[in-house]
Amino acid sequence: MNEDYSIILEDVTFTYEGSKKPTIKNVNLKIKRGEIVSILGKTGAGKSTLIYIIGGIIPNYIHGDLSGDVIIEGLNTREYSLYEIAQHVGVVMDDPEAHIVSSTVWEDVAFGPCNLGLPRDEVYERMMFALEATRLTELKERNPYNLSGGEKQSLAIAGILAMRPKILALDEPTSMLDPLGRRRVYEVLKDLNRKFGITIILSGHDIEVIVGLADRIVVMNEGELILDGPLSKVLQETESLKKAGVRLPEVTRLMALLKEKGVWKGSLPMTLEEAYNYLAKVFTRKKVLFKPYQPEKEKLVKPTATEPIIKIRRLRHTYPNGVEALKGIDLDIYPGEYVAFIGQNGSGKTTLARHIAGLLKPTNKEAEILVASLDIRKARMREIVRKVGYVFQIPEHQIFHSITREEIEFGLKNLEFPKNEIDRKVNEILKMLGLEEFKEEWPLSLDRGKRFRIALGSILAIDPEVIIVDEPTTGQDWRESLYICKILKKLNQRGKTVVIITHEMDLVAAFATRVIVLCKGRILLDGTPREVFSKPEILEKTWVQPPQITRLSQKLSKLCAIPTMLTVDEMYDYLVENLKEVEMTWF
Amino acid sequence: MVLIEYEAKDTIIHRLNPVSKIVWLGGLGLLLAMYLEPQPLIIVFAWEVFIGCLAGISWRKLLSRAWWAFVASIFGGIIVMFWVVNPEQFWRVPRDLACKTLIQLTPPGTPILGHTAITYGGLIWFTAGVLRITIAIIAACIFTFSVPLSDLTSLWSMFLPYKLSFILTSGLRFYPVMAEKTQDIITAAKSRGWDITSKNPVKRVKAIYPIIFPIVREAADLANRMALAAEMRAFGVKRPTRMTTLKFTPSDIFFIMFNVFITGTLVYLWWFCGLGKL
Amino acid sequence: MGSSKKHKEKVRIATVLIFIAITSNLTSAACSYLGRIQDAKEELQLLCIDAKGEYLEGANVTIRKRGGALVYSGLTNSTGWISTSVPVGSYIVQVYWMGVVVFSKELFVTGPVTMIAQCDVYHLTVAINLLYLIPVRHANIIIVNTTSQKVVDRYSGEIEIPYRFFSLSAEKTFRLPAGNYTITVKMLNSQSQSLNLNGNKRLTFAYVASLGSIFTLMCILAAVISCIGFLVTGRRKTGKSRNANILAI
Repeated sequence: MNEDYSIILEDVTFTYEGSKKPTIKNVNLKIKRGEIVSILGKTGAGKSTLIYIIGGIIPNYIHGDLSGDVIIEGLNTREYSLYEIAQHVGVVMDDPEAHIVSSTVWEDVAFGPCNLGLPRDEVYERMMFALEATRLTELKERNPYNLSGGEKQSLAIAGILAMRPKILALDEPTSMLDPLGRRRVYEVLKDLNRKFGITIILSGHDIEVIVGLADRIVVMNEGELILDGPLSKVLQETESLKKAGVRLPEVTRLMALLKEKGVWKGSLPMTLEEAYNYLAKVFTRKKVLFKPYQPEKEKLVKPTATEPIIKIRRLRHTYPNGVEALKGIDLDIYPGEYVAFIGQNGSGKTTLARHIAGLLKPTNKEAEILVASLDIRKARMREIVRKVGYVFQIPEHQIFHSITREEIEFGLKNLEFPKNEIDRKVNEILKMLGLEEFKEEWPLSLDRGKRFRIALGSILAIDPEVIIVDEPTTGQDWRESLYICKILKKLNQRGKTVVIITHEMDLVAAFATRVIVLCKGRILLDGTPREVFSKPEILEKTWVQPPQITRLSQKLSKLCAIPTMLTVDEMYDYLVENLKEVEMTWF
Repeated sequence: MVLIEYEAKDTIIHRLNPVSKIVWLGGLGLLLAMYLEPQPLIIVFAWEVFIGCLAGISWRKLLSRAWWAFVASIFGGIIVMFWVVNPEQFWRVPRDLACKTLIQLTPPGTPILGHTAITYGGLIWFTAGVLRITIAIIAACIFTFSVPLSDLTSLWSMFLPYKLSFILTSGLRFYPVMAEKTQDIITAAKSRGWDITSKNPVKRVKAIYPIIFPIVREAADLANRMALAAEMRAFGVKRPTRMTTLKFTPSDIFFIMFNVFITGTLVYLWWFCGLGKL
Repeated sequence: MGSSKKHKEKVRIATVLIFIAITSNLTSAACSYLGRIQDAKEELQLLCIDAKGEYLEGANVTIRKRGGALVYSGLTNSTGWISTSVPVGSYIVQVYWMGVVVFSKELFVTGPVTMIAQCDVYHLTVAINLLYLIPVRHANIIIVNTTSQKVVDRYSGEIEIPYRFFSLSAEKTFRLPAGNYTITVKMLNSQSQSLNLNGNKRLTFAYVASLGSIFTLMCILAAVISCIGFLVTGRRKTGKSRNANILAI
């Protein structure tokens, strides 16, 4: 029976060297050949550790206390070296840069087979197989440094694939990628499984992205496996999933709420198509007449202020390598707005945001950038940081102190604030961000979410009028992402202008009052979330998809007069309101 | 140091065997060490620019990456030039001509600084110095632009253990990655009012700490992850298969011959005729 | 009476004798004084320089009286000076360089004299190259006076290559009196040129070959041929990249 399984974990417990608490506890897991298994859980649940154990990295490279048996294709990982195990299971890490070792794509892919000393013909065959499987054949002569994020991740997969493993274990392979990049990686993985029967294990935070890919879901919480089964079955355990910090697809959440209300008794849908089919049947059968929608929480595009707090005219930026990132941007942002910059990687979002923060200078003389009446082009950095705070995507780039409190003080000390004011502000920030109990801890010992909060706190301490946050959800689980967006919303309600760069459209829909879509250095769309997401055909140009619930409402609108919805709560309230007079039980 | 990373192109220089290019670099290095006069260096520079054009290098990219090195060499050269006033430093240039003062800065006997001036000999020395550094940087860029790292690894592994040569070339490969991360780290520090423009030297040294620590940490982290990725791909298990056979084609032979003859001629002229000596 | 006559006679004789003594003493004193005036010498210092203002070392200087009698003959020292003493009088000072009078002047000496003799000695710089490009470091140079057909100077040995900003040339400088000369440079081959030297001049021998210069020329030619060969063979597009032998399978 065990011969059917390529991966067997029996009572596996692992504690990192120097740590007191085990990171994973009593894990029992069997994975069959050819399965696609997704390991989900919040940050710190033990997903990466499990991936490393399956890959043989623990205990061969990363040391600690490992108990229990880990059998990969019949090999006990304790008894074989890493490279021997690597010929059966390949591990792809979340950072593709670390995998790239050569100066051309094809050489990088051939690196593994070459190291095995295989004959040249065989190396070539494996290399071409890997390139074709990951759709990199056209790019084989390219320097990996010049590839996009999705292409780099595909290259990392190709490099492992060339070793001909029967199992691929991927640790959050799409956390650093934009939607286009993610789509590419998932299509590659699907192909690998379907065409070549490769067993795929991938860890992540949310189910929506792996629906349609994974056959089976394993949910971890606090180092333990709490759920294990087919997707359709696991999705029904909404409470456990919520406890584990796993984000359900929006359509599933909607139907789960309706189920809680007693309106829906059937199974929960996993995909938009399923949800549409369910609801379409109900609406046509029940002949529901929907009332016009008056969104209470709709914010006006132009707030009451008449003068913009950020004024940009004729902004252009060309990087030294010749790439024109911004091609003439004119933009006004008013005080109190919560603006989201969206668009695929390379559209100019970060470049635009950095210009506002004074971190980049325009390459054309006639450009004008004013923030709170300060001419950013001419002002000194010390003046700018008091007006505009910029939080970077990778908090580790900012963190260097050994104590959290000192990290938050850093900006204030640079600006020579008095000591008593520094203490007061730091205490306020620690409280606001829920970091009080960690104030004496080493920031890098904390999880990613808290590190991001520390980086955010160090900017908020300066109390700028405009806060720009670059991709706060990268590498974060859903709860942490939500927490940060809520903090920003609170600040926005206190009068701060917030600019957020993100790929998470549901957060944009839930929190932003204005959405600016960038494409190839120009503003493609500018309006409220509802206005912007009502134009999916334009959004397609920049590979942006509206939130799932919006797409559901747009699809349903072809059947009945249902308006564009932005969030699950909105859709739920609307449906409940309109279905009050209709018989409530649906099947 | 890789200022420009490898780009796979089908140019005459790319098709050369890396050994040919190393012979070229060796000859160039020898000439740069020997020649202190700007006139022959201008000819060497022109030849190098020609090689760079043949290789299809992007001069704009090179300038954007290396401008700081050129500026540092000019600035450093100017500072040192002020002290090139001693006639004993010149052997071939007539001493009265070499020490002809163009602009006097501080007279002899000035405390601490001593005698400083801009002299004819100093200007020649400065011009030659800037040219040498420029030639060296451009040559290194042409080399890294036209030689893939795997070929470099193979070359070095002829003299060093394979693992060590791989480590050396990996260091080169990660230079642009670390340069980008360093820029991000500096930008992140600036966003919190960090400033290195203070006139107080103690403050300036202290100001580097917020940058150095994250850079070192990122570099160590990247190296660690890369080592893991390499080990997962059986690095160091066996002698790796060479995927490309580097042959010596007629153009390699001609190129090597050209460099040997030119270097030999210039060395002869330097030794016996004093060309390039100051 | 007789004794007083004898006494007066004696006084007369004594007086005459005293007068004669005094007169002869005075006369001899006057004569010796006159003789001292006639034997007095004055210092004469002479600096010989050539047309460029450089000292002429080893130039032969003669001082003759008006009648032609040689008073002094000597060679200038390393700094171009001669120093001698001559009696007051009129003289002709001549400076000879390579047997030719390069300076002549009449001089009346009444006191110490210091003078500078600007001699008609010119610099002839002989530059020796192969094809104007490669300096020839060793050569035999023979200078013949065309008029007298006599060899006035010769040099055989290492030739200096002085610092020049834009050229590299082996140069040897000769100092010659004005005149017509034929200069022959011999190494592996021989080249001659004639000129009338009436000022400081430079003569270039562009086609003199030596072993070193031939060797250097051959290296340069080989380098040029290699460069052409490199460009021709390298440019020839085979339609394949360096990896084609692997990726075209």
